[in-house]
Amino acid sequence: MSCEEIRKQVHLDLDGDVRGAAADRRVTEHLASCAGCRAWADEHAAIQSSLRSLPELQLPDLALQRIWKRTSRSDERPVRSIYRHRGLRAVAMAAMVLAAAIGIWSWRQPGPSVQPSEAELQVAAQEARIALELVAGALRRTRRVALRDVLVDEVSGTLRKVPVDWPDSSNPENENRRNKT
Amino acid sequence: MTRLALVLVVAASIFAVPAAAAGPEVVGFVDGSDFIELAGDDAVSVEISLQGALLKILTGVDEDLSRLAGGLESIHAVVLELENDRIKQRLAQFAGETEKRLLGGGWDRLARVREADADVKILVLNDEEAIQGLVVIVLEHEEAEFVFVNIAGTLDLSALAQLGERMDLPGLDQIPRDDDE
Repeated sequence: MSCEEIRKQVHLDLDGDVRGAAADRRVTEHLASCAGCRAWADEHAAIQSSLRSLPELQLPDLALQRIWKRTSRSDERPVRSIYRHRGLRAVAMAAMVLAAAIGIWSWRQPGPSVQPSEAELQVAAQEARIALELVAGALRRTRRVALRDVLVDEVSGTLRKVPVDWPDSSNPENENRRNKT
Repeated sequence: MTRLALVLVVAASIFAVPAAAAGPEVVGFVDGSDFIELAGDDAVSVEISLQGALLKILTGVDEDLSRLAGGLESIHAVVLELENDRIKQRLAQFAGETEKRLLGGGWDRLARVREADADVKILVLNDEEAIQGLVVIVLEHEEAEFVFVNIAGTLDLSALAQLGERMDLPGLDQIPRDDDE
């Protein structure tokens, strides 16, 4: 065995490692014949011995807590954020700020301020009338059916708001019509 | 840092969502675009969409509309020509589902007319003082036509019925009126 290998073995020996009898014998034989390694081994044995003789210090509670926090963090947060990388975090922040800015801008944006032209107004007026006429037509049809089917006293209260010449329910002719149905 | 990011995200969402949702989300509005999707764009013979800002301007230029449209938020109307029975059936079914949905959402049925030549549904959204929304659905059997009208905003049914009596605009003769029957 070379001196380097012997010194590694001595290190392990000082740290309390157990080696086989054959290896132990080779180290002993080498140290007996090599003054350099023997001095090196004695020196390290002395250092270790003096370190062991130092008084044992109590770790303060604060230090223990800090160590505990560091060692337990991985258990508390097993999933690591994808924003660990500075670049991603910056992009995420920029996106959030942009979204907030767009939201605020849209929120504060006034309605359309462009004044429609005369022609556009005329078209819009005609469209409105067409739509309203469709509704009026449906109302007239409903009114006619209500009258025809003599539902004078049964139609919805809201429908009564539609101006119609409702037959007088006290009129005997209407009463007869109702009985026929 | 993480908490700050969370606060920013929430803030951005609060500002951004209402901005994105801006549109005809007013009381009494009912989206009729699904009827067009069911029938296909080729079936559309009339499509009218007027929003509050334009309606408010109209009140200054049209005497009749000023009485009606002053409190209106939007007018939407669709007239579809039904090419075949399959589309007609599909629209009738969806009209029924729409009616159920509205009734479940606090709307009232003003009238429902079933005649040989047409089915008419009229639904209104009432608050304590006035009508806030109106939906008219007409399925014309003989003319193979489907009509959907939604008016959102404060509505005077009485004035509407009277308007229908007095209108004489070019183009309106194309729209079926029960007076012609």
